[in-house]
Amino acid sequence: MTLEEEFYANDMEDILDRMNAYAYNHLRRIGVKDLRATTPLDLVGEVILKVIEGDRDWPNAKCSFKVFLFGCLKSHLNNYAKSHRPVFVNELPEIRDGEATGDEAEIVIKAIEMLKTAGSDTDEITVFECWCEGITKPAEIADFFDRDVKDVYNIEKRLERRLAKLKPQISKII
Amino acid sequence: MSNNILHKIDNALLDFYLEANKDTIYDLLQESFPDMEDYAKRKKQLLFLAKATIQKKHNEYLLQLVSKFQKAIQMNIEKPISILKQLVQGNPSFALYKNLEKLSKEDIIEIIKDKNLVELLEQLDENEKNH
Repeated sequence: MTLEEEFYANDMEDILDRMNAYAYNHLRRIGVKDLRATTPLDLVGEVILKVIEGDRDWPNAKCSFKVFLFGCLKSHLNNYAKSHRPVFVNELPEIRDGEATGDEAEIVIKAIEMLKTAGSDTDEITVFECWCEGITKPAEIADFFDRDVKDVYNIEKRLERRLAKLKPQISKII
Repeated sequence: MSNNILHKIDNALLDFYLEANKDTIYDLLQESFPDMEDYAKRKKQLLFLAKATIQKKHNEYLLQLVSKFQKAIQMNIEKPISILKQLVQGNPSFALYKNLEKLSKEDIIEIIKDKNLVELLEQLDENEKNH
């Protein structure tokens, strides 16, 4: 479908809600302390307009429109973080596919210890282990430990908050 | 934690925001944007601006295409004429048109308005590059 058709075929209000919630929490998680006059909603707006203007290549995308918009948003947020480096603390290093910087198993164990100390329960630890094993879709995680997917949403929400708070400590073991 | 693990965490959280139910997303929004009325107002403004920009782009593409087709008719350029002929034949209101030169700007707009304008522009641009 064309971009125009996708825009009207999708529930854009719902997609914008998801993008805004993601933008706010992603920036918080990567350690953005000061957005100055910009809000997450401004950043989401910039992405939407860039996509409409054709600055992002939707016609050649191989995924759904929603996933495409999220990919553009993730990239935009990371570029924003890089270009505003002085106002952020504890920014995550650039992430590249397949790059490992140490013994992963050992690092995961240390991260789990940190999560436990910070108050994570067994549900959060199980979800974190799933993520580290590459099981990332909520429905797959729910299947994996035989829980309702709604429970998984709540656990993931708690876990993201916990990781944001633990950012300074976790950065030390990267 | 290695970059590989960070990448997996990033992917998992992206999947979470893509797939979580609306109630969970709404809870997260309420925590992120304390003034939900202001948020709703700004979201509405963004949607309005997005739709207006889409319409503006649509009109720009239409005018670019009309200009390219008219130029092709005047200069008798084979490929664009062939594309336009196919479109004319596929449109019941214009299917009996034999003489493309008689098509007005408004006629061409009517013929192409529901087509994939970006794809059409790409086809014509490709043809221009090759000539």
